[in-house]
Amino acid sequence: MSDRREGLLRYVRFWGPNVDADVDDELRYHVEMRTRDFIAQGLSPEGAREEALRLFGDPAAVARELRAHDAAKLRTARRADMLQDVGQDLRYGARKLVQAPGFTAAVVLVLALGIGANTAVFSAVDAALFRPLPFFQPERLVALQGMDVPFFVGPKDRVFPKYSPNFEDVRAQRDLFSQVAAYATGGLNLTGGAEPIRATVTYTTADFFSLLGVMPVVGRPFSAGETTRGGANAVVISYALWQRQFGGDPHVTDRRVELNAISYAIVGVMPSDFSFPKQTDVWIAWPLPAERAMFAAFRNYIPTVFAARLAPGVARAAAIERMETFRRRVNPKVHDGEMPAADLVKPLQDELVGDRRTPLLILMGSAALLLLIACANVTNLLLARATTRQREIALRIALGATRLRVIRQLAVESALLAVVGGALALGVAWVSLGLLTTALPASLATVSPPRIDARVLAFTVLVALTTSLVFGVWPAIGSSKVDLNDAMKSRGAGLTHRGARGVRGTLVVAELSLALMLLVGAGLLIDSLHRLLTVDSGIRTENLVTARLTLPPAKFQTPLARSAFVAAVVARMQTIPGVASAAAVNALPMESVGGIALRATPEEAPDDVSRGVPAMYLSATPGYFRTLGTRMRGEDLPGSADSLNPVAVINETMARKLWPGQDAMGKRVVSPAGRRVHTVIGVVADIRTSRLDEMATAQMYFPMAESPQFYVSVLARGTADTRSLITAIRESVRAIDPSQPIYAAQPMSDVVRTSVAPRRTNTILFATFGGLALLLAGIGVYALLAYGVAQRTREIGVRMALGAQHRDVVRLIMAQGAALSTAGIVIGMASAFALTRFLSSMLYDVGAHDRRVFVTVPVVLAVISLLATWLPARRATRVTPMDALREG
Amino acid sequence: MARDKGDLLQGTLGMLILKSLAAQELHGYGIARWIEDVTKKSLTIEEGSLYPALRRLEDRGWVSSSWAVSETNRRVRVYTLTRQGRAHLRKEATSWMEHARAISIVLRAEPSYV
Repeated sequence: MSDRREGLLRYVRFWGPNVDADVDDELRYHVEMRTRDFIAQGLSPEGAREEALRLFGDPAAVARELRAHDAAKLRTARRADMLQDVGQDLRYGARKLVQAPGFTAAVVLVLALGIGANTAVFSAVDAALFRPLPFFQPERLVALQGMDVPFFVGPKDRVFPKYSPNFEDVRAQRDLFSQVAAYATGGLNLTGGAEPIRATVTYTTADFFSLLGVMPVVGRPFSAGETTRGGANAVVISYALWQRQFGGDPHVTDRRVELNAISYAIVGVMPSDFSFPKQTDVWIAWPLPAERAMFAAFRNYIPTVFAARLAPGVARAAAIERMETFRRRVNPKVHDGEMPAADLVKPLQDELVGDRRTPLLILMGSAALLLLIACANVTNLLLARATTRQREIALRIALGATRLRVIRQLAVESALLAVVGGALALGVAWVSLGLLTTALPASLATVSPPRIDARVLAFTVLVALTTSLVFGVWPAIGSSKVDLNDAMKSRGAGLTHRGARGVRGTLVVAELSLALMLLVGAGLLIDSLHRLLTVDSGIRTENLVTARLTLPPAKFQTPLARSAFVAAVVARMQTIPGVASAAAVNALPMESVGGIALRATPEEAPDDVSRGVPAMYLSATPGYFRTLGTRMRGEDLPGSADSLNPVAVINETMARKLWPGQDAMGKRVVSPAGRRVHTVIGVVADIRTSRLDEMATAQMYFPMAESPQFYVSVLARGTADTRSLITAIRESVRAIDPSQPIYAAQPMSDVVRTSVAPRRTNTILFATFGGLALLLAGIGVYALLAYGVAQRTREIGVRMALGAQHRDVVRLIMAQGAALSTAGIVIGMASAFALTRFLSSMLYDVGAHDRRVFVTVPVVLAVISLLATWLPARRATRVTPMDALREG
Repeated sequence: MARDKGDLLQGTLGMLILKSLAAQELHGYGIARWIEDVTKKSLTIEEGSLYPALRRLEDRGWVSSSWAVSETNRRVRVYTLTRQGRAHLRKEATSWMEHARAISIVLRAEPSYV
């Protein structure tokens, strides 16, 4: 038994020392020797052993101590060994990669592009969708819809029947929402800091800051008095504004600012990481019920968001149910078509993300496809390299390296590639994110702008390591299965496995089909954008320049003062040399903030809500439609107000809706604003109102002289170039009133372009991904075939020696390439056909299976892969039989 | 409090082990026997404590061990003094002797009775 045990031990020790047995051996030897010596001195065997043990002390305790010690020591030693091995692998791998700079550069570049694109897109998606809002318990925050702002009703104001629950009604539901706040963002002129600026301001009701759980770092939030009607004017400013405009003055709370010539006390400064919503510079205390005057500076339009915190223990579903009951009690006629019940209470984050969710997720998916293509490409490169390295690997195995060791060596090499590629990818992501956020800020940023932070870094590391596993380990396992005999015998580059070549062909086919899918998506989006930009928006943008004016209410108190000023500016602009026509309007077409929509009814049925339409109310000077280049029939708006016989111009949509099948000209329309009746003197073609990709709504134009606004856009169409036109407009305004600033002076085409900016962002990103995919797939085809040609030099040489013509050789290579691209295109077409329907929501006037795109894209791909095939084929024809012999 | 004859002072066991290895390699039992022989049994050590002490010396790099086959054809662990071990022993012995001399001077001072 002892023999067997010894044998076993010896076997076990082959893997390393056996701690327990060693300790036992050592201690047992000691006691046995001592016993033997005692016996020699004349003690009885039992006495001798007893004495030996007594002398030794406690063998069990000693053994325990030694075992623990030795085991710990062994572990440390093993760890050190492994680290040393990995270190060795790293050094060896790095040396090998440096020895093949072309290969290394190609792999690292492909990985950097693939991972970089994913990192950039992930940081955008993360910022918008995944990162929780940086507020206290953000999952309990909801956005409420189907609510009204309560307005202050003065003795002269007309009272409208209540249509929806208002803010105060909802705030009273304490058991449902622990806090409710309303906020509305717009822009105002700020003075009182270092220089006058256009500031982003947000009106906020009392509980706004405590709702979000963010408090000022300097000063205090609004007091109860400041958020009550008639209280003192107060603002809280952003950290950035504090630094920029007030030099970080610690006593800033003793200072005041003016917003559109109204003075406010600064009571607090928010933390540097808080600028919610929309990069707000100034938060203004908003007492409820609201004054209508507050909205004047915003052209009577402020998109108000109602945010609330669910009371403890209240689920969103329960809140929806309660709010639905509540809204029916206020307005029994309300129906789901106006506002689905589920939208009454939405998670705040969903409300902020809005319709960007789908495009972002699609973008993330396409970035992942691009990464797959990159992986396939790199795998192909590695496989090609593994074939040429067979002899080296065979040699290492022959010299005693285990298969595991070889696999580990190769895995370390691919991890090294992934790490270098990943590091470069961060650079790629950083640069592209910088470009994206400066060029297209609005479409990316939600609450916090995308940035490369710890989460994004972790994502990049994860992606890099996963890709290195995906592309690296498989070729490594494959190439460790080397037949020593074969590999050592063959001279030159080693053998090409038929199997390996098949796999590489499959990878290239996969690359081609993935690239095709991305390109089809890009094609559909590009087509959409093109159609959108050439759509009849109702206006001609060439040679059309616009600028905005905000008239300070303090200076232009009476409507007469306003209309006189605007008329003077327009008259002055008409005298600018090269200006054909000039006009002014309260809201430009396709600006993101439109005018105000109210229900208008025909005079025949003034109280029939079903015959009414929500119409956009606009006011314009004469010549507005001519300046825009919009078709119209009937008369233009007059330059003066006729209070006895008020007139209006309506658009075709409104004419069609109010008087279907009849001529609207001369008909009369009732508007709730003062319940005045206007005679229709002209009908104008539809103009896209709020965004280029939204259909026109009903529009109703009043003479500017009748309802002059504080907020005016002027327009001029002329033959002069844009810049001199803008300068001339500025001078015209200055000539009338030197203290009146103008801003947002730009060609009308820029206004239109801004309105499609998010769509443009998506299209640019998609097109970039498609282009990269095309490039990678092309490189993939080229690399595979070029490698094949290099491998088959001898075969080609022999064929040529046996009388094959150049033509035959080219046909040989081209046939291989054609087979690959055909397979790739067929598979890619099928997948694209199945997948493009997810793009539907992002398309405009283009079907998800648009025939033009589905024909053009495969042709482009075929041409590229033909080119990628032709280059190696041409090289093959340069092989001479002599080359082949030398190679062999 | 009376101390047992030959009870080891703290830290001296290590020095004795190093000294035992100064001239030859020994296994654990050999070290115990050497100390016994040299001191003519005037120092007794609990032999079990020898081994943890050896591990500590090995951890500090003063002693190294390897497996060998004994005169009785058994697998035994043999300890060797390393270069650092020898240097340490020299230093330790010098300071111990100076210490001992100083103490004996004090103890021999008049009056010479205790």
